[in-house]
Amino acid sequence: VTHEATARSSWHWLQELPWRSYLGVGVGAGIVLATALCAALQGAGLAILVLGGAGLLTAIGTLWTSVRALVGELPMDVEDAYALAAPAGADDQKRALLRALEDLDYEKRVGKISEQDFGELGARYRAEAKQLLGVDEAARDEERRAVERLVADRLAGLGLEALPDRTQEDELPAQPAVAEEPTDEESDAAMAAPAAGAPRRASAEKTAPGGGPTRPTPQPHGARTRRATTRRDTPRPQASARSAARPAERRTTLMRSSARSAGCGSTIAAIPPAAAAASAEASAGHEP
Amino acid sequence: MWNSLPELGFAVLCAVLVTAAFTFGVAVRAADGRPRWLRSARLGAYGTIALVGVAVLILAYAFVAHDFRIRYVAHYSDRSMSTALLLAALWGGQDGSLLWWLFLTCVFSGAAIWWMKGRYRELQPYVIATLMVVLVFLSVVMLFAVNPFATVAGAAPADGRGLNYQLRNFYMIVHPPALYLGFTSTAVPFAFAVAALLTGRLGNEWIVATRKWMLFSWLFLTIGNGLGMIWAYEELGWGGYWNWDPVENASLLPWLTATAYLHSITIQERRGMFKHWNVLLVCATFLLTLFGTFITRSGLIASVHAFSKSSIGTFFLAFMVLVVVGCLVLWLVALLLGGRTGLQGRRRDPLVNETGIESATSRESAFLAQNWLQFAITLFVMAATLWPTLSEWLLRRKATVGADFYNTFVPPLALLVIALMGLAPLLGWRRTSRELFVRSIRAPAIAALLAAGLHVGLGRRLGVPPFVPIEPVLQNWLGTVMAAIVGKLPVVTVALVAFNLTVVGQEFARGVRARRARQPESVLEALGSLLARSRRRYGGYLVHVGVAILFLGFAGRAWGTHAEASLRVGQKVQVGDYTLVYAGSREEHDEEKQMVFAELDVQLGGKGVGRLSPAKYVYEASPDQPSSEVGRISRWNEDVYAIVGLVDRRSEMASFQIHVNPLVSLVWLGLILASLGGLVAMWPEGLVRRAGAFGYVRRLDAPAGAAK
Repeated sequence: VTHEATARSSWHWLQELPWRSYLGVGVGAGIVLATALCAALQGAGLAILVLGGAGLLTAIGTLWTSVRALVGELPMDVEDAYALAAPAGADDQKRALLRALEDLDYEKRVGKISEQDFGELGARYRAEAKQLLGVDEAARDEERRAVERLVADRLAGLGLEALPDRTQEDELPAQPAVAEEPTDEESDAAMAAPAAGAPRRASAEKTAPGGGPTRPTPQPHGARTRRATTRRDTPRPQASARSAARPAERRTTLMRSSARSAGCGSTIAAIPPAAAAASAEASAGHEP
Repeated sequence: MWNSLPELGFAVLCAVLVTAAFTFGVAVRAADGRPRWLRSARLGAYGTIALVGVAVLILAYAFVAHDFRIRYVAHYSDRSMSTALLLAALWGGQDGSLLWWLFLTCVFSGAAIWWMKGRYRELQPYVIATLMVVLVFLSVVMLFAVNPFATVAGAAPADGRGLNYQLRNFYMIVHPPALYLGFTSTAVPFAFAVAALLTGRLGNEWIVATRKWMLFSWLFLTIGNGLGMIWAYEELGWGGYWNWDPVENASLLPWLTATAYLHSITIQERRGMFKHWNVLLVCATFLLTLFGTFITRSGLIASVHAFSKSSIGTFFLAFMVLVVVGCLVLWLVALLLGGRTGLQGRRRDPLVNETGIESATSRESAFLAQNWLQFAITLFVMAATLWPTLSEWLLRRKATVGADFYNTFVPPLALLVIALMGLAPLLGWRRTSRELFVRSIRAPAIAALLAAGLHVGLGRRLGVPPFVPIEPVLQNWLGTVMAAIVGKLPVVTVALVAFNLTVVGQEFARGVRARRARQPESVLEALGSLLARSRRRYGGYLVHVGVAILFLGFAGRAWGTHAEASLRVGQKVQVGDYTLVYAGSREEHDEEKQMVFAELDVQLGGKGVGRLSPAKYVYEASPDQPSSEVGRISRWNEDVYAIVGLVDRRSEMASFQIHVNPLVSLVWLGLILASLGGLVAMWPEGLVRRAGAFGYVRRLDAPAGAAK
């Protein structure tokens, strides 16, 4: 295991590369190059045909992917899931408020606004900024709770195990977050003895703060059981404004990194729970 | 497959209709908060956009391959045209230009959907759905009214008719796409407005989201109109750059409402006011792009550069009615359900202003007045453009209004807007104390009075009189009053331009001073930092400078002179300070046309300043439609501009129309500056500022002692 882990970490940088983006850019550059070559050698007609062919293939591929996404054949990718759970336009709102404050500050400095108006308007904008931060965090907390509940339900329904909190996760030995496939004997034993699943469900219930009791879902014969971990990504209640305004890019990087290095289970662990739920539900063909 | 290119094109258009309708359905379903559906809708939109791109490429290929089986290709191209002109012919006629319109709408839809990834989750499904409705509409128009892939009756001709020669001009190649960019991009802010009304998220969210999109539309409408003015000046031989033609008016109307919107959203952002107004302006801007298309393509209004009459008018009228009714219903719903809980359990924002105007001497008052004036100009120009049709309906006789009518009523209103444009930056939000106001306005007011005084004192001597006699356009008291007012507008314009330029100069100076008081910087460094850090503010000021200079250029029309003359070789004519001597004619030929030039030697104070060579081009493909080519000498302060009417080579006689147009160069300079300002205001803000955003909030908060 140690040897494999070492080998994996040495190739880690390779896995980190955004291959899909590279592929997209490469194909695009190839088409542009082919078009330019055709235009130079054979005239505009052939160049237009090359572009048209590429466009047609893109259209067919994209529409096919759209239908696949619709019928649930396409698992939602991490970035999409994260995007779906991201706060709606909050960054833009924050920036607009910042601009308003800066403008006000400027108008004060150039003597275009009285002290009294500056104080009143400034207080209003600052209150709005704080409210935006507060609402933002409150909305996320509420969302997280709901999503943790959904994830726990879903995992329990699939017979997966969700770890209750970070402390427990910290105690885990170094291993891929998605647990190894159990042997057929283990699965069979689990199926044969329903009581064996009970602790897992209990664990899931414990994970869901404020959530109701989860319903055990009957497993089809031969269904494989996995272990997965969830982790609280929720900022502490006393989180400062700075931590709340942490750039989304950093989270995305974390998310990508975790997703690529550890697979789906740790993706759930790293991205905000709402995104994890969206991803889990969508990939399972369910709407949250 | 190449034997069935028209069918392939038609099939792709059908596919566009199907996929756009599919995407619309999926997007509407995704509004329930279904991530899979939303992803599917996004991908569906991308697929639809790619299909439209394919349709455009098929038509482009048909042009390049001279596939004259396609009617549109046969009508708008011939074998002699270069590849660049063949590609420009894509938007040279009705059918192709609508396909081009659809394509550009798709490009913007794709850009908006790509940009929205990761933000505006609640608005996204409705934005996509609205954009798809626009695509469905345009696809239906093309499939059922103006199919660009329709074939000619019978066998394909050996050669096409070729592109109209007035369109074979560089500015005509670039002007329509620029204008279409402005028109089509208004669909994105409109889609956001619809989404905001539907979801009840009527706060600042959609305003913030749409600002740059509308700024983009505004910028390209400015550039498109500017290029159109240059084209008209160089190609149409009107003697001027703006003649209040219906097509010109159609492109001016959305520019006016977009300008009003870009100002009024600032009020909503800062003060939570004008919420209804902003919704109205966005919807009106989109509607006016449809209206412009409707009047110029339906044959409703005659114009020198309108498209030929077609059946698309009915489709556009129906869609406009749908947009108006839809917006009204959504607005009513937003009004009635504001504050109640919406479908997804979220409380809908009330469509009410959070505060009111507290003082007449506040920036919001100035913005409101400016908005009303711009809206009044919009309504006036719209009514005057439609007057031939309206008069036919109302008075049972067709009456038209000419450029003089517009030039009598629009400039006074426009100059009021210019006055407010200078005044607004001097005012603070909420109210401005008397002391602050006097201090701010002192320098601009002195500059304005000084400019007006100098103009009155020296203007007549310099050939730019402050007051000009104007013939009343109406034979009643209103006509007399307006003629008296318009006659005094030159000096008013000069004063207001001086006022505006001083205001902007003062604003820059204040900004630099404030910046240097904080940190040691050179003036240039401080100026650069100001522009870099407050692009929106200083970009806006740059636009103001551009508009002020543009108006000074417009004022030049009042001082212009023109003459008509028939001259034999050696005869001369005096126009203003210039003497023009007819030097004779010459003839040239090229592959496609015969060119007859009439040469005029231009002298000023006895010295030659150049030779004008206006010409008549007679194209072999259309010998009955000779085109006039303008001869022009551009000087920094005025243009000498000549059009030749008739050239008789046997009697060596020619008839001319000669104009001396003062300050035309300022019109172009103003347009360039306004466009640059728009670009500066639109330029993305740096990421560094985002990172420091809340440090700033805390820093500002600290002295106030408020709880963090």
